[in-house]
Amino acid sequence: MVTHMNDILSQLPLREPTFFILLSLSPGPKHGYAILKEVSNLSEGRVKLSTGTLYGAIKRLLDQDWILRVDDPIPNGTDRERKSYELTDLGRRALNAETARLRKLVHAAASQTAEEIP
Amino acid sequence: MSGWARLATKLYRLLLACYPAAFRVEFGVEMQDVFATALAEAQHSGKERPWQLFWREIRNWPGSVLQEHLRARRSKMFSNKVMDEKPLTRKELLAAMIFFILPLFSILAVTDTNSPQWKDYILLVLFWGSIIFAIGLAIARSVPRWSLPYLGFISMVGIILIGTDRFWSWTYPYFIESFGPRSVWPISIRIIYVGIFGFIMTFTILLGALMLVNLLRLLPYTRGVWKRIRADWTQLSFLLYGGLVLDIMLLFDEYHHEEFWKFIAWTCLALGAWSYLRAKGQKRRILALLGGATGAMWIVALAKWVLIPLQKWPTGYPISPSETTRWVETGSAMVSWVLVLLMLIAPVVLNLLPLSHSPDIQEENVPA
Repeated sequence: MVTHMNDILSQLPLREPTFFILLSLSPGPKHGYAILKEVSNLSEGRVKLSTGTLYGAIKRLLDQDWILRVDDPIPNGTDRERKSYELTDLGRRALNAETARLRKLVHAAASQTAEEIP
Repeated sequence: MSGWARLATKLYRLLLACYPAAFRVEFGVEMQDVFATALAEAQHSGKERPWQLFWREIRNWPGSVLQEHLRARRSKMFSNKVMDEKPLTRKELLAAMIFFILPLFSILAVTDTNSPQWKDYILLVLFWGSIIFAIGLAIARSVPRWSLPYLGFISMVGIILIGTDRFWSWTYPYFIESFGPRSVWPISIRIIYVGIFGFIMTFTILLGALMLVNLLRLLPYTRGVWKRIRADWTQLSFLLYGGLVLDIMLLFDEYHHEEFWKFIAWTCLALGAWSYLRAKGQKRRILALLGGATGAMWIVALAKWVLIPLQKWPTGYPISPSETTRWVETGSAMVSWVLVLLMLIAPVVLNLLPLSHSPDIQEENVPA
């Protein structure tokens, strides 16, 4: 289990689907289908996850304690209890670390491009 | 839901069957839910969308399945503990083993049922009293693993009481009509008859056991048992294994001087059960049961070969102690052995089937 910041940093860079899944959970807990849709929206339709990829990633994130399973706050209209996933503190730190890493990349790319263009 | 969508959902369930069992138990139902919801939404968004969705699933399926199997294997390699069951305590192990000692009462009892003595009644009460007490205790404790053979024994008694005469009346007249009186049947036909009769019995026992397991999921009290069996189908095999104790009693029905052989056969079953309860992992567990059953049934076959010439069955008894009988009885025991193996393996094959669409199996922490 990853617990320290150094351990989190060793997990970076995140794979794109993993990053988007964490990002989709950033505002609050979501169930599987909501994550699927949100990932598609956030990536402007570029990343479309299959259920196998989604739940493979969810399993890994659960094992790493980056997310946890909670009861769905929104009733789904059936008797069946639906499970949602929520970002843990550790998961949020990983997301922030990856966002910071990407921001640095973008900053570096932006500064380089600005120097090149007269 | 359109016909196409229903077909796609069924195909999707089949695809899910290829994931590792633990993964399916944890996520199978959710994945089906997500797929069904996505499919329903895609149907409203144009004709091509459902196809695109399904194609995406198909395209990613081999990679995902492979990845999950590799991950499951990796985590298994790094884990020394059994994932789905807590180890049995010494008391629980003893409780399971007592089941295989109980039939010894029947050896101690006088076999002449025409003139039973007081000690026969005591042994009978002790035997059935112990079985009923164990089943009561098992029900009170949510049917733990040690109690499964007791339940298998009772189930087998029920099925034999209900089924034997009925199956006999279905099959026997047909054979009489086709091959004449039983006394003139060749050895091969006699063994085939035993095989067909045994197959019907085995099939009925399996069907009965599966119906029982499915009934367990209906009641909140017993749903935990169903979940446990669903997570490890060898437990159903173990339940059926308990019925073999009765099977051995019946295979030696009307025999004389069979006590030693019965004792050895039951000892084989006890060793198989002990190995099963100590084994880690489903593969080892089923192998333990198959080993115990094989030992017991081969002992039965050998015993029949040795004992037949020593029998003094009355003249006119359906089976006379002749050389033909020797072959038929020994061959029948071997046929029974094959059927027993099939019966024990069948529940494990169910692990390959897709998960049923039920909310129960997605819960975590399957109880031991």
